[in-house]
Amino acid sequence: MIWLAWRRQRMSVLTALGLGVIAVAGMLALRFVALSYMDEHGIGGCRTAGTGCDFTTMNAFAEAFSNFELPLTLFMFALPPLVGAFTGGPLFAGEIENGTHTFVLTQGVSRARWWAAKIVVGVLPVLTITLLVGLIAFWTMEPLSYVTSSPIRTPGFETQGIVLAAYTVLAFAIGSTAGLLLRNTLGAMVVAIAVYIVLLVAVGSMARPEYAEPVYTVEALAEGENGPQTRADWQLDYGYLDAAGNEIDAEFGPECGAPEQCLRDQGVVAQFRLVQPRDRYWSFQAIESALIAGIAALFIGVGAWAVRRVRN
Amino acid sequence: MSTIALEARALGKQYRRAWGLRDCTLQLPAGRIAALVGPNGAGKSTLMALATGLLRPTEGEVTVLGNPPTGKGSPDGLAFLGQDKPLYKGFRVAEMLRAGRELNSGWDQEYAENLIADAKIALDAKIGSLSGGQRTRVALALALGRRPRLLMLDEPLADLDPLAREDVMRTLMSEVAETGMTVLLSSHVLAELEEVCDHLILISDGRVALSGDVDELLAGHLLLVGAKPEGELDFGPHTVIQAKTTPRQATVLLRTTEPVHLPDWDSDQPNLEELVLSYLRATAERSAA
Repeated sequence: MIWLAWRRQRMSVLTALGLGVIAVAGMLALRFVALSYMDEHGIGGCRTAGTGCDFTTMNAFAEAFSNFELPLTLFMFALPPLVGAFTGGPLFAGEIENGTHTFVLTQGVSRARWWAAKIVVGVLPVLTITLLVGLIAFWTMEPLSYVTSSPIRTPGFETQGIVLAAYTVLAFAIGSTAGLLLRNTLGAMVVAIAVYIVLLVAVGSMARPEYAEPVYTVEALAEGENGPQTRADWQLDYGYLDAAGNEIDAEFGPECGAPEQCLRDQGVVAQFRLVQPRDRYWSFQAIESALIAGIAALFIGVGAWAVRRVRN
Repeated sequence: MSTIALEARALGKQYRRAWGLRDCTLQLPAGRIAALVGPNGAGKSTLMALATGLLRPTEGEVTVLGNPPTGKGSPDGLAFLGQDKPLYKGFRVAEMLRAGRELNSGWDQEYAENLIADAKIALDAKIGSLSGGQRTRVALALALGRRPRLLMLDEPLADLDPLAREDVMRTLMSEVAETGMTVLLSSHVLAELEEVCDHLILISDGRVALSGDVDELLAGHLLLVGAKPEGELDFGPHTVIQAKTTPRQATVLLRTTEPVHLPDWDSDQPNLEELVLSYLRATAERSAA
């Protein structure tokens, strides 16, 4: 049964492997070029502008590489749903469309074994591939952290680390179960990608900020209108406070003059920020991976039920 | 060993809108080569799918070689060859045989390979490159390689040219003769079944219209041909199954167990095709009325 599942599914596994290799090759090339650029321009080892890391040079570096980083990030965004939908969607629907499920289901193996073998042989390779790609992505993108946003923020969070694998398994789970219910490959892939996008957005906007109590800081206004921009943290909210400590709406306008003075004229004495710090990256990755794996398990469970209802 | 290969009791399957099979009661004794006939959509495929466990009955029950299908694969001793002979198009023949081996505990690899060799099909040929006849031979080898005691074939000849039909039937019958297995073969083409089948199950409108050994069924009926009588047809105690009349002539199928003497009629034992067609016409007339 394992042999049969592998023989049936090896093409989609090889396709997933190919996509992973393309992503890794692109990232390794970008890392190599970026490191040479940084060494040449005297900013080797710099992650933020500051002492020893000239501000203008760092900004020139960011400008030079943002055009290369963007398509790679988009590719990494698309990788989990594409790999998941293209391996999961046809998994059962392809057999049902060709009628070959009536061949397998009238042999001497149970439906449960057929289903489990196909799921395991489908999940394990894409899980391994995307786990490696995600970890490599984290490592290769690290020198470019001044170019990209912080890995704890979108899109860094979704395109690097271990959540990449969890999200791929999610798309696979939706696709395979939708295939059992819809008996149609194209429909299963469309459903997989659509449901995936909804869950990705919902988890990122609703669940992720809640993984840990955000850090609330208040700074005196004197430090500048926006305070020291700590690019590494994930800023959930910021605003201005009056002398009593209440949040107030402050506005800039062309007639207002210098921003700092403008704010003071409106009664602003301090600003606050609400952030998830950069160093929570791996714990957030672990929490989100577990959450996504749990949702994927729900879809897999529906599939385990649906396979008992599959007919000729 | 069970002497009944396939048994259905009040078996029914309801699809979303209509019944695919209803109140189906039949017994297929072991060792028979049975024809399952009926118009398209009569319930032949539904009956087979219920027997393999692909479908679950809405009502009643079915047993195969004494065991009900469990959904844990095909019932023990049953091999099924589905209507479209589903095979993996991208596989080579040898890989298809390996699939048969991996999926079945009682697999006979040597036998299956011999059947492929007899069909003059290369083991490294792609399934997708085979002709319809060759594909059927591979599907047949996959079914026979399981060494079944009951072999069910759903329209195995439907998409084949006459030469391939003959080939497939010859292979099938020589293997049946050697192994003594029971065969249930569905078709809506009667001519190709008449020579080989010794048992008949006729399904129409989802119900069993006629079931039994062919010899007994034929002996139990009379086909009468004569001038069209003036009044009502009246044959006393004998049941008129169906009467077909032209302005001058009448053809009547009677069910009778004793010899009938009717001076105005030419009477003869019907052949299988006449018998089946009369029953099919009769059910068509009933559902039209």
